[in-house]
Amino acid sequence: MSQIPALFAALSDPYRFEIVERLMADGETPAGAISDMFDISAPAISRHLSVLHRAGLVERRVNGQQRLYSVKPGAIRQVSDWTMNHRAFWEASMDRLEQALLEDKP
Amino acid sequence: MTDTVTLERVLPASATRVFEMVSQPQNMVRWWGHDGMIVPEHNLNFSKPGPWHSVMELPDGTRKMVSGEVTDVDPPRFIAFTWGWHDGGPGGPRGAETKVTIEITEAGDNRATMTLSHYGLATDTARAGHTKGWLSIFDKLQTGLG
Repeated sequence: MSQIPALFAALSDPYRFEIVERLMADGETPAGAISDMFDISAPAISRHLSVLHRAGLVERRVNGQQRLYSVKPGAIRQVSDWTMNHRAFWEASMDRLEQALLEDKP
Repeated sequence: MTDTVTLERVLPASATRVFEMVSQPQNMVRWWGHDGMIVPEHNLNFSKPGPWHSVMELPDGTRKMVSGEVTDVDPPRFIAFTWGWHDGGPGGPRGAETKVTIEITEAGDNRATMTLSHYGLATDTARAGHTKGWLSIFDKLQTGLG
């Protein structure tokens, strides 16, 4: 079963989307610092981080008292694969097909 | 809601020659995919029914994988196969299955018309339909990938 629907569901909340954007811009960030970026409560941010973690969008690392979050590049790559433009793929392939046929002409 | 991409091209060879080029393994690697994509691993063979797969490596080193089953072959005029991306590249779970047909007809004067249709593309609908929302998200996400 594809994981894409779960990724989209997790990203469909504006706070969670912004958390992912911030993590991509800033790299690994402690949960407390993420919480400071937003005007909602720390427990609410914590819930959003759990959803992102369950969906496989972010990784969590514990360092002493801190919980550090970062984006999982593989998850984002899955989303970009999914948006592959098929028309562009086939157009390019047909261009090369035509070229190959011309090369084979005696 | 799904989308179909259809391309039609008049090619400079007979239907028989175009069919050979499109279906035979040694010829398929000459045209399969974008310029700059390499195909490090595959069993591309559209000349007979059966499973197929192709790994594609992009210039940035990212590997993608697509696989399916050749379902119908009627030389030199018709090929049908299924198509599904593997999430995250080789080894990933196979995503939604779509279907591709290729029709080849003689166009006279040693030319043939090839019509390729790719059916069931929810993705391209998403691109066209909710472009504003999701596409900008992908742009941001991809930019973030660095």
